Amino acid sequence: MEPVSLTRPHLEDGELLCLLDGEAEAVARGDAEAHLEACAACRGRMERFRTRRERLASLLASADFSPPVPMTPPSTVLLSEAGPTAGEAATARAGAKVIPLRGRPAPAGRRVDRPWLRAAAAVLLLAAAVAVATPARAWIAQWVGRQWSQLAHGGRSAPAPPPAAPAPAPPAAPQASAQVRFVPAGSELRVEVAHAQRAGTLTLVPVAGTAALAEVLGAQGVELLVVPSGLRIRNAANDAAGYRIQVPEGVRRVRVRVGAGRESVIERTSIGPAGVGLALGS
Amino acid sequence: MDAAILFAQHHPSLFRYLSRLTGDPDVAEDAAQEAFVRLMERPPAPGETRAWLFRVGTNAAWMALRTRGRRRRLLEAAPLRAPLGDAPPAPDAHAETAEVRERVRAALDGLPERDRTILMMQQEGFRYREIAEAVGTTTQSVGTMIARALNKLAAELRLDDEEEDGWNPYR
Repeated sequence: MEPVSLTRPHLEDGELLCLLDGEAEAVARGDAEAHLEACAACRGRMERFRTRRERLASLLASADFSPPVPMTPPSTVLLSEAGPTAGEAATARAGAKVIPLRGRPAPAGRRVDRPWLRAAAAVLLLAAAVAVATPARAWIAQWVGRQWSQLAHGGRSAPAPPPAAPAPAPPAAPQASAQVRFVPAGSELRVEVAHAQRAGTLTLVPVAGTAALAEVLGAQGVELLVVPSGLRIRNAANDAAGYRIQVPEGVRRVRVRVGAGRESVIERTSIGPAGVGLALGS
Repeated sequence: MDAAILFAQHHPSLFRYLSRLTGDPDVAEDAAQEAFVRLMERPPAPGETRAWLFRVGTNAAWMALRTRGRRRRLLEAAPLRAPLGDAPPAPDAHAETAEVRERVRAALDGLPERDRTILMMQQEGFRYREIAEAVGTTTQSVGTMIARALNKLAAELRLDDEEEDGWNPYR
């Protein structure tokens, strides 16, 4: 019989989940952690919950529906003008170690045109403008729905404004950064970077809980795409963006491949609190 | 408010969450659209946009499902008014995906609405506080509800199975 904390009985399932997710405020953490430290049975139950959730995430990802509009790949974030070395600066500020990655530099590719996004942006901005001007809710919904429907059925040109509606607003002001949050499906997180870059760093930072957070730090146009195996970064060879990925507890190792280069494997246990940086420069 | 940026940031995960929640991509699409329309009408406080969108989308999705359920019951009561023929299969519904989707759907449908909502929001990375606010419960209860849902799904989806060649979701 294993000695366990005398201050409390075995942990309840809900308490185990709180600890697993790093929800300190939801549980009497001190007592619970002391018990968990001493009790192999509770550690085993916690591990079983972790496994269950990883497997559920995998099942959900394999059963997902495609988005209805032929526009956004899932979890895609569009970025715009920003300082070219923001990622490197952030990495340096955090004090993370930087590891050079072996990636074969890819030829400078042409940017993929995204007329659907321009159209969606115009539609939404127009609808927003109208919403402010006239609270005609039904009209907004009808208009937005019609435009999205056009996009979904192959319409690729920017939609014309409706009668008596104000002209579409100009494109959005540039944003300096963007992010996408997701729960990795398994104990390995794969990060595929489309191209080796002119400069930039990919920083991995350990974090409690189950959710990963990927951020882009400075870019002219980059897509983050969440895929069943992890994350795909659609960049270009002349980019100098930085990327920061928070690696949650359930992930034991991160595999990073840049372009057609060799895969780098980073064990989570080797990532210090300040993180580890992978140089993306070719 | 920059609607285009908000849309690009939140629509993919909102649609994924809602389609997992409801099992119906059409309902998910409509509910996501409803959430964005309301966002434009009455934007929430800065920093709360994502949780707000998911909360509104969730309510819209459940309402649509209930309406759809009522309509189906009416059609079943008056079969001559029901549309003829089966719905065409989705083009991407190849056998394995369809089978997994069916199993997952059946298991999720067996969960109470609130437990399903909590579990799917957690899968999208929300904190317990945000989940508790969305479903009207306490932060302390969220862990319990997630555990209860996982315990039930473990049996239905055989999440605890150990096999020599590893766990296989397609068996």
